[in-house]
Amino acid sequence: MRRHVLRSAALAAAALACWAQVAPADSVFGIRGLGLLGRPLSARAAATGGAFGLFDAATPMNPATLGLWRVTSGWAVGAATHRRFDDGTASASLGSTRFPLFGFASPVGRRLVLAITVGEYLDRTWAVRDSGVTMLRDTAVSFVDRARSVGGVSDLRLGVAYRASDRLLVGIGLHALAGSTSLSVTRTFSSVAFTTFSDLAVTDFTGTGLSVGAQMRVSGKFTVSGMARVNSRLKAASTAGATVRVAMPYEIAGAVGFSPAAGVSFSASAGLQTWARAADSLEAAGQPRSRDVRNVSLGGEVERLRLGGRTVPVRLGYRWRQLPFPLEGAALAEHALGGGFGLTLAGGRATVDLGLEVGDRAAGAVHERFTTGYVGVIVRP
Amino acid sequence: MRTAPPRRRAHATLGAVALAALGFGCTENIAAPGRCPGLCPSGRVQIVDTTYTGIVVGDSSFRGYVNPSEGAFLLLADRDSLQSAGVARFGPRGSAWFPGVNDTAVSARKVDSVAISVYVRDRDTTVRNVRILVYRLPFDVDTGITLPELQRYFVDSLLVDSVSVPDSVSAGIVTKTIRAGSFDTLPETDSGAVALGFAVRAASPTVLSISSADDYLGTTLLAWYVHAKAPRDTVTHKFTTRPDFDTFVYAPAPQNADSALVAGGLPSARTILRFGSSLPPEATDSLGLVRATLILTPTRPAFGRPGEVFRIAARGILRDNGAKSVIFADTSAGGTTELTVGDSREIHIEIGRLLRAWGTSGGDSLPRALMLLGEPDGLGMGEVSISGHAAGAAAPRLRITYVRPYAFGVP
Repeated sequence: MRRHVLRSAALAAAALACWAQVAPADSVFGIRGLGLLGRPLSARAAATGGAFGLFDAATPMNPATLGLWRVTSGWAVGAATHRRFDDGTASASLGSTRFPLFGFASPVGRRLVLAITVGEYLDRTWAVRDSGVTMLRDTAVSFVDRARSVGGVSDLRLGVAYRASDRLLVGIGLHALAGSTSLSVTRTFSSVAFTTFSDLAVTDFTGTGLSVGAQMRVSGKFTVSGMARVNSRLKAASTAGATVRVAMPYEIAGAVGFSPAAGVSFSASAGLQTWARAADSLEAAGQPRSRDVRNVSLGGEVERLRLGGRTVPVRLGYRWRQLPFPLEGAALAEHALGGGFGLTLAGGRATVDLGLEVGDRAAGAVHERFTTGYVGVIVRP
Repeated sequence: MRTAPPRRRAHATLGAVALAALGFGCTENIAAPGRCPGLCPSGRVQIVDTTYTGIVVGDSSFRGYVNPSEGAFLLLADRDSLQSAGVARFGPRGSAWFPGVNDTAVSARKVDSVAISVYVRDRDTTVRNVRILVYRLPFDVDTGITLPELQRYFVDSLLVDSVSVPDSVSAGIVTKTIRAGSFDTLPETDSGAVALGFAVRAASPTVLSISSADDYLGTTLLAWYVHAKAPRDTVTHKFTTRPDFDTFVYAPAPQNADSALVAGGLPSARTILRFGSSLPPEATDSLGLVRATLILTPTRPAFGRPGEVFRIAARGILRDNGAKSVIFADTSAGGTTELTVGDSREIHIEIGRLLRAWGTSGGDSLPRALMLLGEPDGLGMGEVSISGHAAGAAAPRLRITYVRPYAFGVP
């Protein structure tokens, strides 16, 4: 019993210690608006294109799914992305590694589960490099501009789920949006007579949110799941002096799960985020207006493959989503195909999920093709 | 066949997966090509280049920090535009020595010969047949001597010898054994104490500098070859003496620092420029300032040895005590510029680092003043004379290039 408590405490400490490191895989489109919307999915859900996100206990979308945890558990996800940016005239190969999700859950009594998760909400990590020539003191001087933003907004959720019956789970989540971005700009001149210009501003973000969700098995083959979330205004305070409050979206999402046979399941999910609420604030800050966005996912999981005496679930999925912040008037959207599998280890005490997602996000002629590898670990001490 | 326990296998698998994940993600490159304005920050780097006049509100000049007698060289010249001659005073040589480790001391009886060695620092290699003429001077010669007074001793009757500088030597030691009898008139009690004057002659007027006693390269040496007194008069010895004082005098005389703003030269001069308290904020903005150039207008062509290339530095002042101001120890808070004797164009010195230092919190207490001086001070003859703050359009100006405060967008 004592070892059990110690392990649980260690897991919780590790999750909290990683709070500052939570960040999603980056995108050059994170420079637009408030950044790139996060996708705090477990590796399992990511492998199904997010279709299982509303049914997945490790994915902090629907607080009701926390009720699926039967024992104290901790989990984490790492995601490494390789991206190929191309705007028709220039291209670049980019890459980064982030840790978009951490969580810890523990049952309290027979029906209640408490959990804390830290996941990505907005990704504002990006860097751009530009060059040109300017006339300085009657001399043409070439320069290189670099701008780099590091950070984003993380979503800290304290969730509670209640197992109302064997068929119904309900949950509620209290969210704290927190984070910061450090934006640095640098201009380097080709002539050593001109000193490099560099400036830095840090913007702190704070906000709150509330989510509710439910999951219900309506028959032996069908399960439905849904969630809704409201957010307060996001306060952005910059060391450069300005403070603005941006209205954040309402979010709703629903999914239907279908299990035609034991070990075979499919899911379809859809969601809406009312990012148009932020349009006025963004426009006041001199940025293009945002729009409401939708997303759709389809995926499946088959647990028929056996390797080394273990059942290995194999997953596949597809997703499409709109992104709220346009690029030069062109709407931004992305789609991706995912797949993966899972390994159950140590007699069920540990699970390793591996996923791979290949996709493309585009706005007009600007494309960013990406390949993301997910590694998720769940430990049940 | 033995197999590992399930838990150990699980740990090994987890470790392998973690290592694979870390290896996959080791690369970090998030910098994309800018596609402005769509994929660039909302702010823009806006550069301004402007020149401020009237920013220097006070100035003063001082001379005498390094004197010719403290310099590293003796200047010899016989040009119309620059005439110069050197002086070196050698102390007494020894009068007794120990021929061997366990031997008794013996006394010098007579001087067989004297050799003089001179270290030539630099010369005009286009001028042939360069000779250094060495004259006897009264032993009480000192820094008060003037060039006309010195030249009165440059007569044949006091000529000790002439040291030829081979045309092949651009820098280095030249040695000459002085002809017999040159020092015969030295009293025995002086034991070789002698003062010498140096002048240069060549196929055409020229300028030459030789090392002084303060030069690390070498200096003028006298080697005295002597015989011991009887009965050990077969024993010989060499005494070497070096100057205990040397200097040089030249014409035209250096500009008076009381009536001109001068920097450099020997005796070395320095000028303090004091800036007004109303320096524009962008001039001391440690972030936005990308270049700051102090522009000075010379009142006459740069003076010095013909063809001499020298440097003038602008250094920040820590405490403004006039001539004895405390300045930054190095050029990290200031800048330097290179000049050639004869230059009459505007003098540009980069002082961005100093202005940035003024813009820091630690720089608030610093006087808004800088000092112009030779770099290194006293190492050459190069000297500039500049217009002061009351010279109207010729007064010191400050040209700065800066970036306007960057407009970081929020959010």
